[in-house]
Amino acid sequence: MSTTASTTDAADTAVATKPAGKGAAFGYWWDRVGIALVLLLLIVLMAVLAPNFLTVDNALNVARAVSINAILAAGLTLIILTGGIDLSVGSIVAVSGVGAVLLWSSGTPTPLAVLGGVAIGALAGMVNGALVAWLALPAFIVTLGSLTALRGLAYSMLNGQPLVASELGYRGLGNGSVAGIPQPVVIMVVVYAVAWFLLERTRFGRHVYAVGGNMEAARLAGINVKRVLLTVYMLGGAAAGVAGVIFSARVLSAQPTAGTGYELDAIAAVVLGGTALAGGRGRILGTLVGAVIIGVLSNGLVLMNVPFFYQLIIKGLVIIIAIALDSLKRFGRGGT
Amino acid sequence: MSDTSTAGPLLEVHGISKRFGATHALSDVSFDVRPGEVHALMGENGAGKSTLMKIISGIYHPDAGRIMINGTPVTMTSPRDAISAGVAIIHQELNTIPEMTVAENLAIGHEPLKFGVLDRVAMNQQAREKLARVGADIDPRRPIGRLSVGMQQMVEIARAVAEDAKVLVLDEPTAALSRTESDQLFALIHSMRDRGMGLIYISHRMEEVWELADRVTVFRDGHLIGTRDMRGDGPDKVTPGDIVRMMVGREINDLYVHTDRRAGDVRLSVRDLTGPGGIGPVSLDVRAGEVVGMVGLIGAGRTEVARLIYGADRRTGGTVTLDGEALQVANPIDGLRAGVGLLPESRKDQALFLDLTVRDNISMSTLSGFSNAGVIRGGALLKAVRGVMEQLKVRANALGLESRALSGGNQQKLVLGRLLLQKPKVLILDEPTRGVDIGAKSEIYRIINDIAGTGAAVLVISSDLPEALGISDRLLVMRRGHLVAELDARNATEESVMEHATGVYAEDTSSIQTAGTTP
Repeated sequence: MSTTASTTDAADTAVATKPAGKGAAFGYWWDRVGIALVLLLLIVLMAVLAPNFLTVDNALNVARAVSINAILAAGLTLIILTGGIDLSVGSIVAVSGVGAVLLWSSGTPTPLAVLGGVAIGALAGMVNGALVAWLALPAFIVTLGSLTALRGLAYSMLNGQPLVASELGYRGLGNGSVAGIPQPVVIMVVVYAVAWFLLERTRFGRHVYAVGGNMEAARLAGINVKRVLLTVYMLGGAAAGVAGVIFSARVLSAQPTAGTGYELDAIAAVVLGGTALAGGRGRILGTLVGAVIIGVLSNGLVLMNVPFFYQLIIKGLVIIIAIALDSLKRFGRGGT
Repeated sequence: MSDTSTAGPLLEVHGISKRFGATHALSDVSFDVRPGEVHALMGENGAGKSTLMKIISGIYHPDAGRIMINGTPVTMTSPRDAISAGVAIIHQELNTIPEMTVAENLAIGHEPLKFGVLDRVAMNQQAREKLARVGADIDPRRPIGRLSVGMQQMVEIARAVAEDAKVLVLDEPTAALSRTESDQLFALIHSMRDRGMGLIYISHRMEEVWELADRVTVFRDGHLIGTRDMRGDGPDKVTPGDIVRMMVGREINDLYVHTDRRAGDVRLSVRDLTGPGGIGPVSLDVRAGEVVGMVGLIGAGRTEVARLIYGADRRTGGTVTLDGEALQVANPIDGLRAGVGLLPESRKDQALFLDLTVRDNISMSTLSGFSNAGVIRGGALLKAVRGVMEQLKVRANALGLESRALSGGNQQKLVLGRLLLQKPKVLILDEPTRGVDIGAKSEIYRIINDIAGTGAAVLVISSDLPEALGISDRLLVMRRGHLVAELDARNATEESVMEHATGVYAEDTSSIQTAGTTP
């Protein structure tokens, strides 16, 4: 309550004259380059510490390894910007990957099988979105349920057994390259370009921020809040569908366990990228940087032969430190 | 006032300065509160009042200067320190936990225990005693969230008095109170003063300050402009005009803007409108180029009627026609499309996107008009937004600022700007100047007058009676969900409006009841 008064009194004069003071200036710059700076620092650190880190081959490796998480995180960014969450993205990866492989092996033309996989993801997201928007159920609970249900669905589609498809028509999507760039990386770049355009240049994008920033104000401003919610969950599901198709192409099979636990790395990437879990505040390119940080960290630690369990501890700590820096920024703003 | 043994001031601050970055929020401010006085603080938003109050209540630490209580220098590093030193603050937004009972709220931090278990009987008894000291007759077992804002405020004051506060700060205490509740509060303020407490009273409302205060201190841009005597015939004795001049640094000759307009045909016509919670049936007309004020106590149903017309809530019956055509609204999207604009009651909760820029806030409702296939035409949008900002007299370099960085008055102008871009046929403004400083107020009145001048039908809900009388052509008075009177604003007086709003024929308790059922 007292913070409200401070925004009228102190901030009125303070912020109107642009970033004033150390705290505010720190916030201003951190907002724009902070997380990219962390990435740069990390890269320098790894270049010094990890053998063979700074090579083109390894860079491509990192990019390929990052792509699936980055694509998931792009979709999730839209959802989190509205103040929602989707815990079921990992299970959607499985269902859509399995669906695409099954479609292909039953003789569906390859492009249709790929689109089918993505459509399955979009559909799963729509169901989540419909429950959140129309029944006004909490997104956390809805998607916690669908995380389990969709995993079950993936198993039941395969009767519990993985299905190997070594001649998979779209295997290039996982293992091929375009002009030396791995195809998953190309897809990732396209996904981010689309997401950036949607958020920054379209009416829908402004509505996403509005709904996340103040849902009641958005409703009274004549925004179709339910449709915005349905759309972000659908797009988030579609992104998970794309990731699922790539995953199945990487492993040349339909795996009911695909994507287990992926939601956690995806959420971490979004939050590292500076998007507020409460919604309304964040940038899509921040998410990309966040995903790359997680990828670089994993890669570097592997190159340094750090045992797996220490890797987990370090990764967790880095996420906490990054968030701590972020809250420092908010402090600099004079409380939010 | 009352005779007290302590001659010196209860609270003194000397040479207080506070900077936020490059901005001086307070520059070398000295000020004091004597026992048995009500000391009013006035000034526009951002003038430094709140900063000073935060310093004396231990929330901020001054960069320079000292604070003395009963002549002894004190250092306060937390609100807890301030309370033990005898300084309590009642914030504009209340500090209660709605789900807990009145007694629980009063006992927080020192709950009575019996064998290590909460002793409810003792707690309720203590609460009754604390409430009795401020003359409040409230059942301590009621959840505090069910009480009206005014009653909750009483509970907070009771807590401060129980904690032995010597200096009590009231920050805009009447902003959300009905007239009856305000009167009760004033009576309590008088009795606390007579008991020798020092009260700091922050308000934008001149009439209240005039009625209550013994001295007034005016702030502007972080400087203390002056402290003046408001009682007796001393040389410092001021007039309301003096205070306004001190606040704005210039003359505001005519606060209320009301040019001669001729009302045209009926644009908005409401017949037998009913809604949930015993609203209506209400019938009313608003003509083109007319400003109609809607007044009444809090809880009388004014906001509800506005929301039903706009489609924010579902109506249960009745018809609304706009320019002769039936208006079927199931949600705000329909209302907006049909040409109705609503400025909601609560700027922060219902209208603003604090994290978004000024540009986004102004354009949020009209993006469709500036898009091709959903893609925003940035140039066209920017031009339109700039035009509106010029009309509102908001600095153009604010375009990319987050709206949270603006003052309450400028924030309200953004919301008005959003409505201007909609070019509404009917404009409904719910408390358009609440929590807005006097400079922004006069701007908002001018804008309302301009909009009416373009032929829109304007319905203004206001709890500020001089304002409603000053800017309206006609007044509609609501009471208990119904329209009870229609008055010509030229002939109406505050008294005549209040008679209708409270229902003078009904016994006094019924009006308190009405005020108590705030949404």
